[in-house]
Amino acid sequence: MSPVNGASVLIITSLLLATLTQLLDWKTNNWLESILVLSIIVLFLYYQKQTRANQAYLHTLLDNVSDAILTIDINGSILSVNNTAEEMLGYHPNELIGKNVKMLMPSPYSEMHDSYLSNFKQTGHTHIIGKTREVEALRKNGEVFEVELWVHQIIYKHEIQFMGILRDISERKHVDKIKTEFISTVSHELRTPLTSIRGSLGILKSGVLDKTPDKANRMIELAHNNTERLINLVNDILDVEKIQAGKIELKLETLNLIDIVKHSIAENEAYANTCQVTLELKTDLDNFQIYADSLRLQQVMANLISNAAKFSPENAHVLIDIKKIDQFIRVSVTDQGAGIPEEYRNKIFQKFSQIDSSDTRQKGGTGLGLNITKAIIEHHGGHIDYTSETGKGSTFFFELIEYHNDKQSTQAVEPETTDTISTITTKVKNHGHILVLEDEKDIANLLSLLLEQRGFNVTTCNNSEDAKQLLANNHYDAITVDIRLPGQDGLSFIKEIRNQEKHCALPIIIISAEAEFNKDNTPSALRIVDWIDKPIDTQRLNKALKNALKKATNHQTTILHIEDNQDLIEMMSGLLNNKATLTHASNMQSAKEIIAAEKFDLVILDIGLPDGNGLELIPLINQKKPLVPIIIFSAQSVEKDILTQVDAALVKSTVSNNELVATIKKLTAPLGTIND
Amino acid sequence: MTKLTKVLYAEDEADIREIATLALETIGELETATCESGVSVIDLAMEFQPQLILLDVMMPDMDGPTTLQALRAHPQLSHIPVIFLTAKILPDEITRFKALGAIDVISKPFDPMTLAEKIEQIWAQL
Repeated sequence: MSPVNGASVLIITSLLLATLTQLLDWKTNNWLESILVLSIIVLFLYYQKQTRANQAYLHTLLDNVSDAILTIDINGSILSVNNTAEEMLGYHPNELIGKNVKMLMPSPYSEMHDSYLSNFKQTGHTHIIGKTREVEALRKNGEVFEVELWVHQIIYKHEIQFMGILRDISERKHVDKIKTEFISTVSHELRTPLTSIRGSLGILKSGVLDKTPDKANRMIELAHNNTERLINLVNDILDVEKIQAGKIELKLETLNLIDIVKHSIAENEAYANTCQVTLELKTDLDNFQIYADSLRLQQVMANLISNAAKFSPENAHVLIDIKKIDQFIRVSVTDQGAGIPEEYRNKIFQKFSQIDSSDTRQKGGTGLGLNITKAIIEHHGGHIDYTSETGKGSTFFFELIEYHNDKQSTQAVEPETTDTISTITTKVKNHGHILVLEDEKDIANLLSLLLEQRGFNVTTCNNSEDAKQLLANNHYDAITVDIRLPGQDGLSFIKEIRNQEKHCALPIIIISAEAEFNKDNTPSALRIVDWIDKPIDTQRLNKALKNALKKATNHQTTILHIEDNQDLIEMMSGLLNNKATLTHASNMQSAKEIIAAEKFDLVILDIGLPDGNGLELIPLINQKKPLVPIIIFSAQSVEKDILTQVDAALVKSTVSNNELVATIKKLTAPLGTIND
Repeated sequence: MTKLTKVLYAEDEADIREIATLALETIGELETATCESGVSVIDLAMEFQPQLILLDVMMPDMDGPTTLQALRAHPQLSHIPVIFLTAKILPDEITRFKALGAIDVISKPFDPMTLAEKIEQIWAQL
């Protein structure tokens, strides 16, 4: 029985008793009073019935929506589910209520969920609230299916709860897949007749056959041009499909970008002539080495040049400019067109986007070109953008990194590597040896290139198992890890290696399309140096690696030790002598000041302090960016929910000095040099 | 490498066969034999003795990849290089064709004016 029902039964019973007493005492009391009390009872019962009816109505509504709705408390325990949740997940409500919601998630979501909640408890922030995400859910029969998840925070009786709404999108995903296959088939079926049409027209137009009258020639030319347009459209649609399916493949080789640009200008001269526009190249460079796919870059250039020509007035110049900016090269294509109004900035690189549809008809084009161009440049680790001034014109530009093909200094492939693992190892200068764990071949190649440019030796591998084997047999100064990998995912791979003595000191950098998303919800104990999103910001990567490697060699670990017992302060100083710089705080007040003012690699925290409870400092410490690991070192053991907010909790007198040092070492190792 | 003069092309679409013949013979000045199915390739190749074989991928009776395997298994024809001429040009497909032993893949629609030139280039690189 709920407390509400209990209270109402009490009220009704006392009112009935009062009425009964009054009725029995009929002669001495006013009968009007009795009627009044009875009316109150009737009204109350009516109100009760109405409330129940309303509740039933709400339940009916919730049970009949097509989405699963469930509520959980702040620890993840399921509080309620609707009928659809029962049908979708295959559990009876009794099997769900009170259980942790993790049971409905496959790996890695189930492992990540605890850290979402503990992060929320610490900071009060979680970026998943109010956003729709596509995740995987787990049915009772073990089947994993795709859902769209929307989480909302609610307050019920002064307590925070979360409401999750799940929509089964497995059918939609299936349809997407069929659509992709359909497009692939249709494009093949279209290409076959187009082969004949283009072939016939091409031969007729060339004049190798009998001479045709001028008027007929014009018709042939029209048909030929439009066939070319149709073929381009089919190619563009196929390209977009490839990009969406992540299947775009690049044939990377060392190229001179200047030659590619010159060649592209020559190839597009004829088209520019039809628009009565001239192409003009401006550059002081004659050689700039890049590592790229020649045909794809020509496609980019053709797209930018033809756009510029198409949108320029007659007799205008299209300027192609090549400039070196640091180790990057920037290719710009400037037109003298109408310019792009600022409100279209977000749309310009999207699919099927042209400023207005009347333009599409007037100027032609599918609106796919810039979308494809952007994907190609980003697959090359480059960057594309534009500037525009209404009435004056637009400049589209892309930037690619310079490639040093330093063959002389290339040394032998490392001998320790076993033959079974496919790896590419190149040595240039000796700034450090980096292991790149990345399953997408293009990106792995690009990362090798970017890192080799900066004097690192690079070994790549495409799955966690190979990475573990390589780590076991070789020394690496740092590792970059992708999150989405075939087999074991990147985060659980990191968790596993972090628990090994040998790798607790290895600097790890995440490079993933989901980096930003996972950043806030991963425990600080994994000690990730940086989270870099794809497409890769090369400067940030370089900085992260430099910092990681510099710290690993030069950095002295700094530890804040919050403790009021003088003997223990001395003991800790003795234990960590020459291995770390210790700062002491012996009460809450001074601890708060030091936490606010200084940076640390680790905090060792006592609970019983003279002016308060040390645990109250945890939220303050957890606000520091980057996150600082915390060890509770106290005479008493701590509650479970505190454990989720710290990295270790050790009980004084039950833990040996060696264990204490080992824990400190484990939590600070990547950033410092505490050695035995 | 000797100059390329004789090619055999198997293609089930009559229109494309006709255009390719024109492209290879008239424009490319290559002696060309064609057939409409993979099944006929072996007999025709034995009789015509081409230096290079062009195969369509999607053909009834016997498709391009199967024909290539049959050629590879034939003691007198196994040495003849094969190029696929196909509209199936997804990256996975191209990789598969090359793994089967095709020396190159030319995508459809092809340009009849440069088809012979393209084939001669591939031939020169052998």
